[in-house]
Amino acid sequence: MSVLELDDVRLAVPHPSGDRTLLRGVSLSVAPGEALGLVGESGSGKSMTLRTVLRTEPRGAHVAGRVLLDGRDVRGLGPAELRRVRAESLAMISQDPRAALNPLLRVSRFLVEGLCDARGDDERTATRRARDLLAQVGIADVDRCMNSYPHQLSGGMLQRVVIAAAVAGSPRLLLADEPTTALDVTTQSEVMAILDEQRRERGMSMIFVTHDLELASAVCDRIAVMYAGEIVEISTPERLHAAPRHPYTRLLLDSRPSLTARAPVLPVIPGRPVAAYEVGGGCAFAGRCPWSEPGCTDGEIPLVRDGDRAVRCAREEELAGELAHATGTEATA
Amino acid sequence: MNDDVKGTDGGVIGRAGGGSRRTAGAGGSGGSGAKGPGGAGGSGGNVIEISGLCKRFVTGRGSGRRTVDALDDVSLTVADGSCLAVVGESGSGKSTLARILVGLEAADAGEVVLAGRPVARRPRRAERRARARDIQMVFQDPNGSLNRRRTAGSAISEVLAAHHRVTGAEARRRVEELLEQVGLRPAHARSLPGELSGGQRQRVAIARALAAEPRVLVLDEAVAALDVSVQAQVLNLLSEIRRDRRLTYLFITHDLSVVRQVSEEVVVMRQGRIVERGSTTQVLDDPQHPYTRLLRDSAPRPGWRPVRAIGRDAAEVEA
Repeated sequence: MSVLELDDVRLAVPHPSGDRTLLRGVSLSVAPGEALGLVGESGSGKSMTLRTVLRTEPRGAHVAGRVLLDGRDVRGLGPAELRRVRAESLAMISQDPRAALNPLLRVSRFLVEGLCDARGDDERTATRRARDLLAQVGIADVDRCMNSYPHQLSGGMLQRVVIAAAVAGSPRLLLADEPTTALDVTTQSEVMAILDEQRRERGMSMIFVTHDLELASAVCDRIAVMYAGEIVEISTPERLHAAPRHPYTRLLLDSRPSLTARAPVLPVIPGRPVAAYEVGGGCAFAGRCPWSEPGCTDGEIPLVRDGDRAVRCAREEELAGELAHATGTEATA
Repeated sequence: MNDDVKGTDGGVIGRAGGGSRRTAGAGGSGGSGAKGPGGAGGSGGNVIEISGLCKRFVTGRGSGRRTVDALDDVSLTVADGSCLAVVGESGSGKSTLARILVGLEAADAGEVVLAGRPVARRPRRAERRARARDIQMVFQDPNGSLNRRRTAGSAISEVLAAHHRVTGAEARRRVEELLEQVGLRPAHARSLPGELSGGQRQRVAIARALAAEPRVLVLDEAVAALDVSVQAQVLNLLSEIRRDRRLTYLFITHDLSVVRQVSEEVVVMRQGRIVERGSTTQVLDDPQHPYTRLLRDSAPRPGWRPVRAIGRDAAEVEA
């Protein structure tokens, strides 16, 4: 059974000019021990999807659809049950580690308090476990880190402290929302390696939200590409790179400059990313898609599943061959 | 002092000053002959010449007082019409370099020669204005650099009036022209920043910088906050503008893929020093300094895996 299953999750927030849709029917599943990447540009709904799992969506939001965590719908939980699920089954790592820590408490207090709370450890056991955890996330000087206040530590150190706290209880599912976006590239590599290693050792599932397709590909088993509040393609990283099935995925791969070769002109996606509430009928990407046809703007285009991949494109079969080749000038790169 | 790249001590310093791989002008697009509209010209075809730049910041008080060398003897030149990328992570000094260059910060030591004119360390008002005509800056976050109560048109015409005394109907015409050059419509002149997307706001910031008709654009992580699809548009736009207007760029970024795409030359900075420099192809294809190699190996790309280095965190703790 899946650890997490989202079934046609829709979300709208109140706005002076009528409700604004942010999610237009997101369905996905995460298997035990699996890492799923949610990739998309800003406003595509990837963070909002995570928030429906944690039940931390904006105040007044209307949410429809089911969010099943180990078969139980978290949308229907009462306050006490919800607290327990959040404490035992879920852990969240956000972009800004400083938001997760109290600036007035030393790291030791933060970790030990959390462990006593969640596991019922006594203080001495919790302290020993906290020290072990810090060592596991690659902190060399554990004493110094334990005695530091958050402002005395760098962003990379703090994010490791947050990872230590998140994995401490071996929750079923880690929710990571751009955990390395604020970090330097060399620190990002380090923090991602630690997150990946800790997750695998403890057999945890993960949803990894990022705008960076390459980063997601490196640590995820499957990638879901989001656009305008819905999933447009799901695939393994290898197949996504070798033969993307949705035009948006193809163009997203091509428009990123390459580390190894310079393009005379970068292939671009015309226009700007549209918000979910701006989408009319048909395909949300049709307005920017070089392959769109009149039929693309009619009706609702379903996410068609085919084994472990899925794609939401009206012309999927016709375009399969063409999309497998880069649109850019350097198809071999 | 905790050097988290193994075996670099000494090597860094030796290379930094000497610049053994300095290949200024090589591979550049039209490094010679292109004298700017001001007629001032750069000596030897260099629009920017920086030598021995030092800047020290003091933080904390009493016993917690510490000094940080944001720039430690930094020298570089940028050929007229070329693009020099400055790469580094936080604390490398790359932004301090940019801020000194455009006059937002004063150096403790060293010399800056801009378009053949030495820049005074504490310039007078008129000198500052002349410098602003020569060199303009585009920041990472257009939300911070644009006044949110000012329309795009008025942000641009303010610069036109300040530097070229262009006002009225002529200013409106120039604003429309500039907006079109950055891929916006004349109607965008009436938009407030809040009504524009992130990419559109950055285009307005670029149009405003161009309004001064500078010879040099300093771009400080100017595409870092943009979505991938919008980033490609803005990178193409910046290449086009540089070619059409014969501009010189100093492009500050942490992203080596962007370096590859935009620049002919690159300097790699770390903790206030230049650790490697050379043509972009040379430095990215065959990096000589361990830190450049670490940067390159840390960049996600197809087939990449994150790696865990041992004992790196010691350098990250702020005492």
